[in-house]
Amino acid sequence: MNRSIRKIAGKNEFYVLITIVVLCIVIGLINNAFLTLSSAFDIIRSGIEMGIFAVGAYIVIVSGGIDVSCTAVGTFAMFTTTKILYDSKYEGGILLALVMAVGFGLILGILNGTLIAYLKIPPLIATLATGGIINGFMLFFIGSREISNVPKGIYNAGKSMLAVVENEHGFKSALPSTLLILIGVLIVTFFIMRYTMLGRGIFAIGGDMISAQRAGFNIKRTQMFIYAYVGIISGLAGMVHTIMMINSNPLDLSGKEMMVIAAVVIGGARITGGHGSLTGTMLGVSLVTIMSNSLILIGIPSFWQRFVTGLIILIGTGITAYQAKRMKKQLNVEVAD
Amino acid sequence: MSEVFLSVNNVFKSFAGVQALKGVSISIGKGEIRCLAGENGSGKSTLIKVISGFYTPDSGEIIIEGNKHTALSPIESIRNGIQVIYQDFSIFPNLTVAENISLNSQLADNKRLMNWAQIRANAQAALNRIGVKMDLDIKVEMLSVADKQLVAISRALLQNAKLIIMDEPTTALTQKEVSSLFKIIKQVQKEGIATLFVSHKLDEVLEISEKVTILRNGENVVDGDVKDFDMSKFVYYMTGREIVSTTFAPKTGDKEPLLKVENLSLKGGFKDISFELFKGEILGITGLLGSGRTELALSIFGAHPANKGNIYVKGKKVKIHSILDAIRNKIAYVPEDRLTEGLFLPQSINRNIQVSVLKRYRKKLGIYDKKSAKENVQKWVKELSIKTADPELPVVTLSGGNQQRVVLAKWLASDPEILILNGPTVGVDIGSKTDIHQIIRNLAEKGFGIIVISDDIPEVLHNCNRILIMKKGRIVGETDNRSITEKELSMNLSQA
Repeated sequence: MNRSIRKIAGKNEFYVLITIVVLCIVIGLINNAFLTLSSAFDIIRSGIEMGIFAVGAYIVIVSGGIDVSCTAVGTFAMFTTTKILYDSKYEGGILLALVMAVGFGLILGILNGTLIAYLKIPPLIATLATGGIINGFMLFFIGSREISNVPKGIYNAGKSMLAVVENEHGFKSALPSTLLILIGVLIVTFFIMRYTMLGRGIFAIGGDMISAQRAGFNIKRTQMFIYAYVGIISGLAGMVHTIMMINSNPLDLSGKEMMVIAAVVIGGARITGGHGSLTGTMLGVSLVTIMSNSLILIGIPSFWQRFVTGLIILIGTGITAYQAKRMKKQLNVEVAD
Repeated sequence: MSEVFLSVNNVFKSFAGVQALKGVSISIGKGEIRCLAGENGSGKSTLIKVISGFYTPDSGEIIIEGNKHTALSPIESIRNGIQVIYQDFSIFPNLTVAENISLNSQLADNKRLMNWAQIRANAQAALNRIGVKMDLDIKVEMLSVADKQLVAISRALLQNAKLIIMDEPTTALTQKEVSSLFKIIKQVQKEGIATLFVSHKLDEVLEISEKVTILRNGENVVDGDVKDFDMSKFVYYMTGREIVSTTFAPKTGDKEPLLKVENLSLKGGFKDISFELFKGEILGITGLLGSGRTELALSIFGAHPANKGNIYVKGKKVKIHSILDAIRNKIAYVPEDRLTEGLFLPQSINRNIQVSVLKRYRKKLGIYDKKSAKENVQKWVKELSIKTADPELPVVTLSGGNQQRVVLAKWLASDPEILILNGPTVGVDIGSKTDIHQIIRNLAEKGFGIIVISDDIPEVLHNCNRILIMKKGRIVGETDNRSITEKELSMNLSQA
């Protein structure tokens, strides 16, 4: 009993959860509008997109890599898809848009995967380069003007809600249907990471690349899968952004990749690879979302929010780093009296 | 004569014109414990890589259980029951014990999905085979070195190993752990599993092995029953020269100690440590792993400052709170694990030696004086006879013994007076070992005060004029090198 409590308490997820609870209580005490169903819906709503991106970033980080091109891939996928459907005056449902976005994501993911797995370019450099190339290519060749008059299918998807609540002032808060996409991505990813040799291979590569090679894991193929799969997820996340905004703006997402990576790291994934969980990742996303959404409720102005978010990242990752350092420094000679 | 499991016949292998193996042969019977010995560069590791299928020999044949292979792939080697346990065990620190044991066999069986219940059951069964109890759900990074090794052995057994090749398996183990490892090797031998033991710790080789194969310069030197060997014969075959061990006698005259430590204590490290070190002396501190010997060294060097007690350098009380304090007081420390603590492996020899004294090569305006730095480095490369074509080459290209010399050079370049050497010859072959011992003695003769921390008993006895014995964080005895034998000292150490 005591052991299992210590096991839970030793986990990074536990501290993130505590932080979230404390933060919620503090915000709730200052402004009781926070502890309502409608504000919960609002937070979930604004966390969906980052949540999907974060699942991708989680996989890459577990493998010991990093992908800073995820938002560029997402932007390319959503904007190009919207543009094509808009230009061709497509009137059908959302499915084609999602398939197209996934397709664009996959192609760009394979590009990343080729550079990293076969040309052995370090992931940070490779994705920094592709991120820039993708962005520039799109703005120049495909367009840079936002599309507000989105095709019908996207419009309808954006209006589709799972549940709606109304507060006493008559403001409506809704749980959008795109939540199902996040849940779907989570389920598939959880299954891959936990129950397939491919997923365990990702953990193995992140733990020790040479050992993984000696054990017989196909490193190139695994890396290719990682970046291709993350491309798909990024494409989906981008499309979700357009759906929820009912607007496709190619400049919306740029720069958000750092917040995504920060959320994953706060959730306990070590940037050096091999460690982390989807639960932790979702907790990290929740924390970051609550921070950036709700501090306004307790009167913290928006530029201070960025300060506080930065601080949380520093503290969140600092705790992990400090623990690792302490463990390394710990002396354990049994000294005789 | 037992049945032959593996025989390698007349294998040649060259790399870019360098002939690593020149017609090497070795044969291992079923359930045999054989030792493969040789100095660094003798071709041991190349031979292992040929057997495990990582290298394809230029010519020669490999026969496993009667089947001839000219080109063996790693996966074929594994399917034929050959398992290599590398020095780093090739484990995944971030995964659990159960997964580490089972993952490789899952891969070899081409499984795509993870059946966690099955994985745990397999892991438990493998652990039971060697009679070890371990928490299956703990992450391997939390385990001791010895337990990590047990995980690697269990993993090999799970893959139906018929031959386990262990590369330097005892380097980081305590004496107790070594004997339990040997028990396990004997136990799996009863199941008909052969072990090829790669080691240059001679006493261990003589204890565990039945047969010995010795390589030198890529050729077979001798092959035979371990009974026909003794220590000096063994050393002769390995190095090709007679190595005479002499004891060290210092030329001391000073009354005042160079370093005096008084009632030094560190929580979780050691307690009430007092000793003196004189100029020209080599003081040995010996004790088992976990006796506090390394902590003591790190404390004097400022890496783990002591909680209580005093340190005097040349009669003056000094405060050592940081490594910088220690360097200012002319104390240098050569760490045990030269690879992670002492060197920047991908950087040049030149830069590695200069790193601790960069400040000295500052010309006006803080510009770096490349020329005089280089001259100084050349001096040390010559003095310590570091074998390299060019000091601009990365350190990683050097052999273990030469890397150790680079670490020494790095610290000597900072003009220390007190030199603390922690395990100066760990992982170094016997020839280089003798050379390093000679270097240490020369340094002592030049007036350095040297502390050698080591559990290599012959090393301590032959090279130190005084020896302190540490146990459970305390000094439990002091002796000189003439009044105690190897056996007595090793008995003394292993008694609880």
